[in-house]
Amino acid sequence: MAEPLLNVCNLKKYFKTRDGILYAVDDVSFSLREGETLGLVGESGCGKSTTGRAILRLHEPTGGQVYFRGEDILRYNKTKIKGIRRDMQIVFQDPYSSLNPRMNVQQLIENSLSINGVRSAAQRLARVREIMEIVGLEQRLLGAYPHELDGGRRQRVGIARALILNPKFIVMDEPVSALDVCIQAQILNLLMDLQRRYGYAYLFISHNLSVVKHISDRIAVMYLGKIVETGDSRLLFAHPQHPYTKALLSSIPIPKVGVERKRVILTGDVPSPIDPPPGCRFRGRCPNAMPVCAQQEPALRQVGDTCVACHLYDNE
Amino acid sequence: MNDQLLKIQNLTVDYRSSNKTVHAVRGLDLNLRPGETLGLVGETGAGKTTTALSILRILPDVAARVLSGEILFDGKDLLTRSKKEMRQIRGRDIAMIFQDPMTSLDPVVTVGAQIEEMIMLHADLPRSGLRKAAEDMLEVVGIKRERFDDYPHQFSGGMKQRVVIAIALSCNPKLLIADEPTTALDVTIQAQVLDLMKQLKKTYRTAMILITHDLGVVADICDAVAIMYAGEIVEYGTLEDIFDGHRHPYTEGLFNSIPSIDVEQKTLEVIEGLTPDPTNLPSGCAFHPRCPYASAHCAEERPGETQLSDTHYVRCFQCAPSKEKELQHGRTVVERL
Amino acid sequence: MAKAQKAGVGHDAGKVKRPHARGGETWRRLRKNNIAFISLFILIALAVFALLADVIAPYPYSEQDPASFLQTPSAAHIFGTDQYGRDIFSRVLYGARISLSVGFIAVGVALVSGGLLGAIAGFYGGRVDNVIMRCMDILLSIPSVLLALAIVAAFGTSVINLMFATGISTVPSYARLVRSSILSIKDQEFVEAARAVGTSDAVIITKHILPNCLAPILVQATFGVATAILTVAGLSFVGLGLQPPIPEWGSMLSDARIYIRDYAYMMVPPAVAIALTVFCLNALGDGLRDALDPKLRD
Repeated sequence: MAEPLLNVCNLKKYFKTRDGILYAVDDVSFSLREGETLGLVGESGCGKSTTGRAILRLHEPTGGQVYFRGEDILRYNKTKIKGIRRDMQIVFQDPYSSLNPRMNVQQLIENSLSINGVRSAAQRLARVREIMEIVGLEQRLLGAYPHELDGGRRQRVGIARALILNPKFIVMDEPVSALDVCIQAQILNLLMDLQRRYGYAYLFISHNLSVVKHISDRIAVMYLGKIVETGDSRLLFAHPQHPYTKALLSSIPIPKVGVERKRVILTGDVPSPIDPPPGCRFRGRCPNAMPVCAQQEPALRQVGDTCVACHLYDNE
Repeated sequence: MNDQLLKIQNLTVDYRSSNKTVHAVRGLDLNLRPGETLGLVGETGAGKTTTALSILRILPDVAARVLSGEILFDGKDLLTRSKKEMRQIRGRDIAMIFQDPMTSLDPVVTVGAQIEEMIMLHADLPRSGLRKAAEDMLEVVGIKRERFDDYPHQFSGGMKQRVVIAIALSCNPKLLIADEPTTALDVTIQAQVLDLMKQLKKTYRTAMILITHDLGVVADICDAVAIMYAGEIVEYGTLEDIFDGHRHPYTEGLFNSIPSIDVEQKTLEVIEGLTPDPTNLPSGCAFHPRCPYASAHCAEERPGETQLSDTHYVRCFQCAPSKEKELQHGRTVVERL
Repeated sequence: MAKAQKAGVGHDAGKVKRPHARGGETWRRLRKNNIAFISLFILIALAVFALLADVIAPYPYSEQDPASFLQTPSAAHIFGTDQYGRDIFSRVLYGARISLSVGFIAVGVALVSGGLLGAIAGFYGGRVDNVIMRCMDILLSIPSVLLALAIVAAFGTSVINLMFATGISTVPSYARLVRSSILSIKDQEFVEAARAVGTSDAVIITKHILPNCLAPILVQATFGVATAILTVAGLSFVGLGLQPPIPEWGSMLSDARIYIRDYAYMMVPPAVAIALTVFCLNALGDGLRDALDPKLRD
C-alpha cells in the first residue's frame, strides 16, 4: 500500500474554560490516502470540526503529530506553514458567514491567489474563470456579492476558493448541512465528481449519516473527543459494533414506510466534554455498560470488520 | 365531509415590499381530520411556514396580505374571527412549536412558570392547582418535576424542546402545528423527541401539522403527506401514496436527492436548477423549467388537481390517467440516460 | 440533454454585473438618498465658506463699528450687527472655521485613538483587553461635561485644548464600538477562511475585519462631530470656550442671550448655523449607514 497522504497521530486539542479543561479532541488518530474520503461523524460538540481545524492548524493543537506527505506539519514554523496551506484547504459549513460580505465573487475566489504570489491580474482572472467553470458557477456572477447568491451558489464559491490553489487535501466541514436536499444532492455530486477528476483527499465532517455514507470510503465515528469506531463505510453501516454507532445508525429517520427496525433510543444527553470522568466516555448513556467501563478507558482495536473502542469486545 | 377538523380552501398569501411581491402561498387546499398527523414537506421558501402562520393568524402585519381563501377550523372560518377570539383560540385550540428551542423559551423565566402561564391563560384552574398541573405536564414530556424551578439555560437542546412541547400541549389543543421541531437537534436526541411525539400523539389524539424538509421524519410519524413547491401543494396523499406511489416529478426528484442508507449509489439523481424566485414565478406549472417530463402545455396552463385515488391527488398534466403510458415511457428513457 | 439546458433557466440569482470599486458603489447609493446627499452638499458648502471666510466676509470678524451697533439686518450687514457693532454674518463665517475644525478634529483624534485601542483589545483579547477596557470604563465614569470643564479650566482655553477636552470623553465609546464589532466579526468563518489560505494578521485586520465594522464606526463618527460641535458651543456658552473676540457659534449665542428680549435677531444666525450643521451631520450619518450596507445595494 502506498504511504498515506495524511497521517494524524494522537491529535489533541484542549481548551481552557472557566469551568475546567475542555477535551475537544483527545487522542485522535487516522490516516488518509490520495483520492480517498474519510467521513467523520458525531453529534454536536463531539470535536469533529475541531479535529478538522486542528489538522490545518487553524486551532493550534495541544499535542500529537500530523504527518502530511511524511512530514510533521505541527513542527512547521509560521512561514513554512504558509507554504503547506496551498496543499491543505477547507470548505466551511455556513455559506452565509464564510464569505466576506464586502467582496464580490471574483475577489473572494482570487484572494488566495494574490496571497500566494500570483501577481498578474490577467493570470488571476483566467484562473478564476477556469475554476468557476469547474465548480459550475456562471461567468456572469463574477461581480456578484454573496448576498445576491443562493445557498448552493455560495457554497460553490466556497468550494472554488478552496480548489483554486490546487490542494491535495480538503477538509469539508459540514459543506452541505445548511442546504436544501435538492441543492445538497447537486453539491454532493459536484464534490464526488471533482474527486474523481482531480484525486483530492477529503476529510468529510458531518452529522448527517446518510450523506456521510454516500460520499465516504471510510468512516470514523466520534463521541466526546474520541474515535469510538472506524472502518470501511459499507461494513460499518452493515455491522456496527460500538453501542454508540448502533444507536446512531438506528436513530436515522429513513424515508421509507413499512420498514421495521429495531431502534436503540439512547437516554440522556451528550455529557459535557469538560473534565469527563475516567473510563469510557459513553458509559453514562450506554445500554451495555459494565463495571469495567468506569475504570478503564477502552482502546481502539480491530474487531471483526471495524476498529472499535469498547470493552464488550475485550475477549475477542 | 363534515368530520374535518381543519379545512383550508384556496388560501393565497403575498408578501409585499416597496417594489416586490412575493407569492408565498398560491391557492392552497388542505384537509385534516381530528387526530391525524400531516407532514408538510418542501424546501426553503416553499411556503410551509407561511401556511402555518396564516392558520394562527400571526403573519407579519406590515408585509403579508391574505388575498383569498378560507381556513375552516371546527367549521368556522379563522380568517373572519376577531383579534380577541383569535387570542383565545391560539394556545387553547391550536398550539405551535417553533424550530429553535434555544430561542422560543424566555430565558429569564423558569420553565415551570412558562408552562403555568400558558395554563393560566386558557384553563379555568384555581391558582393553587396551577403548579401541580404544570408539574404534571413536565412529567408527561419526560422531565422530572423537581426541575420546575430551573431556567431554560440549565436545560440541553433536547430537553428545551420537550419543555416547548409541554407548553404547547398544556391546554390539550385540538391542533398542534410543529415547525421543524427536530431540525436543530442531534440525531440521537431527535430520535428521543420523535419517540415522545409519537407517544403523545397516541395518548392525546391531537391532530398535528408537522412542517419539515426531512422525509425520514415524515415516514416516522405522519399519516398523510403534502408536498409543497413554490407555494402550492403539488402532491398530497397518505404515507403509502407518497412514499411508495409518488407521481409528481418534483416528489420523485426529492426522493432521489436523498442519499440512501441501505442502497449503494454512485451519483444522486438530482433535480437540475434552483427553486424559482417567488417574486417572479414561471408561467403555467411552476416546476416546468426543471421538470424532465415537461411539455409545451406545462408552460401555458397551471395544472389543477388530478385525483388519483380517494386519498391521493397530484398537480401535474403528465400524471393525468390518460398519460400514464407516456410517463412510464419517460421514466425508462431517463433511466437509460 | 434537455435537463442540462433547463438548469440554466433556473432563476434570477445574479443579474449581469460588472465589478464595482467599493467606494464608487457607496457613493452611488449615497447619491440616491436625497436628504443625505443634500446634507453632504450643505456641509461641504459650509466648509468652503469657512475656508474662504477671508475672501467672502465683508468685514473682519473683530472690527467694531461704534456708529452702528445692534442693527437689524440691512443691505450693509445682512445678518445685522451685535452690541459692539461687529458684522454678524462675518462672525458666523469665521465661527464656522472654529466650530467645524474643532468638531472634526476632536472626533478624528477620538476615533483614531479609541478605534486603535478597541481594535487591539478586541483582536488580542485576554489580559490586554481587560486592561484597556477597564481604563476606558474609568474614563467613562467621569461625566463628560465635567471632564471637559476640568481640562479647559486646568490648561486654559486654546483651540487645541478645546479639541482635546471635547474629544477625550468620547474615546471610550469608540473603543467599545470597535471592540464589539471586531469581536463579532473575528470569529466568522470568512476570517478563518482567510487564515486557511495563509493570510497574515495585518491583512486580515485591514482587509477582512475593518471594512466590515467600518459602517457603524463611520456613522457614529458623523454623529460624534455633531455632538462635539454642541459641546464646544456649550462650553463657550458658559464662558469656558474661546475668549473674545474670537467668534465661535456657542459664544455668539451666549452673547446674544442678554439681548433676547429686544434684539432677538442676533440669536438667529448662530443658532441656525449650529442646528443646520448638526442636522446635516445626523442625516449624513443615517445615509452613510444605508449606503455602506452591501445588502441594501441594488
